[in-house]
Amino acid sequence: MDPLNFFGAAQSMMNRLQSQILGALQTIFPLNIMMNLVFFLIAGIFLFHLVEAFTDAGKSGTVGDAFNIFKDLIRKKFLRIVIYTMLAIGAVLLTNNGLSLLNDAQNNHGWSYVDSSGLNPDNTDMSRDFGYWLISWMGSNQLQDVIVTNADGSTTTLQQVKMEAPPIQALLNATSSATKAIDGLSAVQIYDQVDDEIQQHLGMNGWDVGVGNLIDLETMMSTAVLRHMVDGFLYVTNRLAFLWAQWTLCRTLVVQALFMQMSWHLGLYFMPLFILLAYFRSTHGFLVNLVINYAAMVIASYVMASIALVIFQPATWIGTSSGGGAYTGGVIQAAFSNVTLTANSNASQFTSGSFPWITTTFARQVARGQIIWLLGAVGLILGHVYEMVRGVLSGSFRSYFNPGSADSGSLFGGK
Amino acid sequence: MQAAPSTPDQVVNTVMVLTQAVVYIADKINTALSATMGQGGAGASFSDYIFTLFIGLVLVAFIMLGWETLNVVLDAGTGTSVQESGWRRLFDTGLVKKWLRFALFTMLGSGVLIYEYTPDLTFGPLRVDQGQIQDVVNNVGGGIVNLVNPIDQVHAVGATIKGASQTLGAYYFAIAAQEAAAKNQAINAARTVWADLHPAGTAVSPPPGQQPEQAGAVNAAGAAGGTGLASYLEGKPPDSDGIIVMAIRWVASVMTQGAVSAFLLFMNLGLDVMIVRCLMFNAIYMMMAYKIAILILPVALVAAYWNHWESILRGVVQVIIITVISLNILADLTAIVVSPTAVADLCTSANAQSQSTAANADVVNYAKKIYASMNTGPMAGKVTEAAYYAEVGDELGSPANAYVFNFDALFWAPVRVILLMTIMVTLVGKIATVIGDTISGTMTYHRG
Repeated sequence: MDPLNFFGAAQSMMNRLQSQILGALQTIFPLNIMMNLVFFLIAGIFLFHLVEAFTDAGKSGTVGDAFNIFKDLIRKKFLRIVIYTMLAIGAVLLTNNGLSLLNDAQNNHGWSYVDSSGLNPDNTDMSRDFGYWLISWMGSNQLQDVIVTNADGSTTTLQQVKMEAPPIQALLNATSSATKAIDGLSAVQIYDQVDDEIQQHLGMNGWDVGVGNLIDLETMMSTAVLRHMVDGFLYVTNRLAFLWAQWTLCRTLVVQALFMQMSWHLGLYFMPLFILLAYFRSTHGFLVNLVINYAAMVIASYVMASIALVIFQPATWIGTSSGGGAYTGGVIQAAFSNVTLTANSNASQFTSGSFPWITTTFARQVARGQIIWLLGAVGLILGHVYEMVRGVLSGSFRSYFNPGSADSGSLFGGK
Repeated sequence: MQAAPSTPDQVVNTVMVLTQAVVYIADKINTALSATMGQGGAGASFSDYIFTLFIGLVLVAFIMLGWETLNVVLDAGTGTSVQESGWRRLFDTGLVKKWLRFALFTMLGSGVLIYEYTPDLTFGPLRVDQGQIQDVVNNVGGGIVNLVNPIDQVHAVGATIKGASQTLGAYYFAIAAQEAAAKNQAINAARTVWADLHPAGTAVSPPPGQQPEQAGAVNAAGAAGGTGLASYLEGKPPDSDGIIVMAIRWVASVMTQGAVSAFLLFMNLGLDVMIVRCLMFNAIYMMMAYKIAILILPVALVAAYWNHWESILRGVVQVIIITVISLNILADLTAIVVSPTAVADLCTSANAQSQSTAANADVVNYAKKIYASMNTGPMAGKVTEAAYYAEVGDELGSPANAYVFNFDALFWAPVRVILLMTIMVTLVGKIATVIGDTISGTMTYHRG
């Protein structure tokens, strides 16, 4: 009996959540409001500079000075406004509404640029269009009707998908793969594999009754007492550890994927505003922050995706089957590969009830616990990736990798 | 001070098990990160993004400089004097400097890009492959490549922990501490008994048939308040009780030892986790940070052409420096902290040993019994101090024999050792942060 499958549930929840949030965003803050805001800002900036120019012209001494002020207004400031406005409106169209234009083109011309293997921009003339190229790199907030082609070539009904940027798509794919991989990696498999490694590879048969002990009443009684007490305790703890491992992995992978996806789309949504705000030096930071976050998400998504894809394959942990129930390779085998395990010649070390006796007897349980702990701990490593990338980019790296603090929150996944 | 046991138990060595697993995973992560540099997931690959960004930045800088240069050239004829016109203005406006900066940053960025992302490149007739670049770097930089190869450092940290724990055994921390403390207690008890039997400064009156100069001569009257050697040595060991009391004592002691062992087992597990988390994870994080910094480096180099983006390059370079220094220091410090010598010191230091100078009453009673058992037959009256201490140490100074009565040695001593190890390991784990803060000038973060 394995613990609850957090992954399947969480990923399913994630899909519902992101559709809901993005849908709600479009509803409560629709595109026309965004466009109105953009135009309001443009008009405000324009008016501001016009008033400024009139004020300055009034203070100037000569007609020539006044002329130069208005010349600069048009040549420099208005030019900047036009450039920023074009960029902002371009961003509105491309990232928030651009695909609907594409959709029209597709419907009018009957193009099918989506097949069962995913988006395939090479099938359309639009792939050579700069707008399409940009969208395919940045993603879009627009829900898009796409024609899904079956394997036999017949087309099914339209489906609504969002056009994700490649890094986000890679992260989602990796999360999905990792989810399936973790589902395939059960606690029982890990337990059995660790047991095999200890018992077969290391020749630990019979150790669990103690080595060098006289089998007398005292030994048997203490064996029974301690086995039930310590073994039971360890067994429950191991189960809890596996639960913790799954929970940590689930929290890290699924939540990070959701978090990054949401950040990406929110960034896309508000980018036009940020572009316009960047016109003012004091609010320039919004755009800089956005760009840094985009860069961080590109890197973190690819890094997380590539690591998750490699790490969370069952083969990575239990190896590949070499027949007869034996496995070769994998984390568990690597873990035990160089462990020297020899019976201690000093039989008194294994006096029933002594500390060495207990550690010997229950070492298996501890090893299980450690491997399972590691499974969850790898999730912690993944969780640090985005923080690390953000830290590297912003130069505030120092506090981003310090698992060495002794507080329990840090030990069990805090920070 | 007792010597640490040289042959600790070789039960499953969980520190080593974990370390080997973590190093294996580090290799996987390293491979995945290296692969990320060259290719990506769905759609545009990661290197596509980096190339596009790089080329885009270079193009923007090129256009800006071209526009600026064109303006200067067009304005060249408008000067009113020789000093204000002509090519001299190219220098006065700092354009040459800007072009030089641009060329330098672009060259550096391209170099990193070629080295990190593209194994084989062909520039017309000139073919550059990574092997050649590697050769050049090796020839020019000597051991620099090894110095800055983070996965090697991770392996070094792992090998250090593995090597040390191979010698130590996983439960060395607890067992060695128990052994040291138990021996300490036993010797204290033996000293007490010996001192009772041989009061300092008093004349020793030999038992009947013994000569006073014999080493094992005892002052039975002085030792036992005049009741005689036999009654003194009789004592009252635990197993002299009735059968019911003995049974209760035995069950209680087994239960106690079971609870103590389970507790220590989990403290050990916690320590293992702490060692791996502080030392191995720091190493992995640094390796990852290094790789990430290398991913960003080409773009950061070109972006640094603009002053307001310079901080990114500074951040990236800081991370690379921090990583190289931290990883080397971390590997060295790990070797010190988890070495057998360090652990032996902890186990046998005044902090880790039993602080009690007065021996446990049960241990004293057992020590009396041992004296009685030694002081019979042909050895009667011939027991030497050294031989007695050695015998008591052997019989009572082991966790396996001492568990029934020596809670102080079996529980508190290992707890203290484990806590001390935790502090030391945590300290090493902090080093990376401190180095980072030293380099970035934010050491005040650690004040207090």
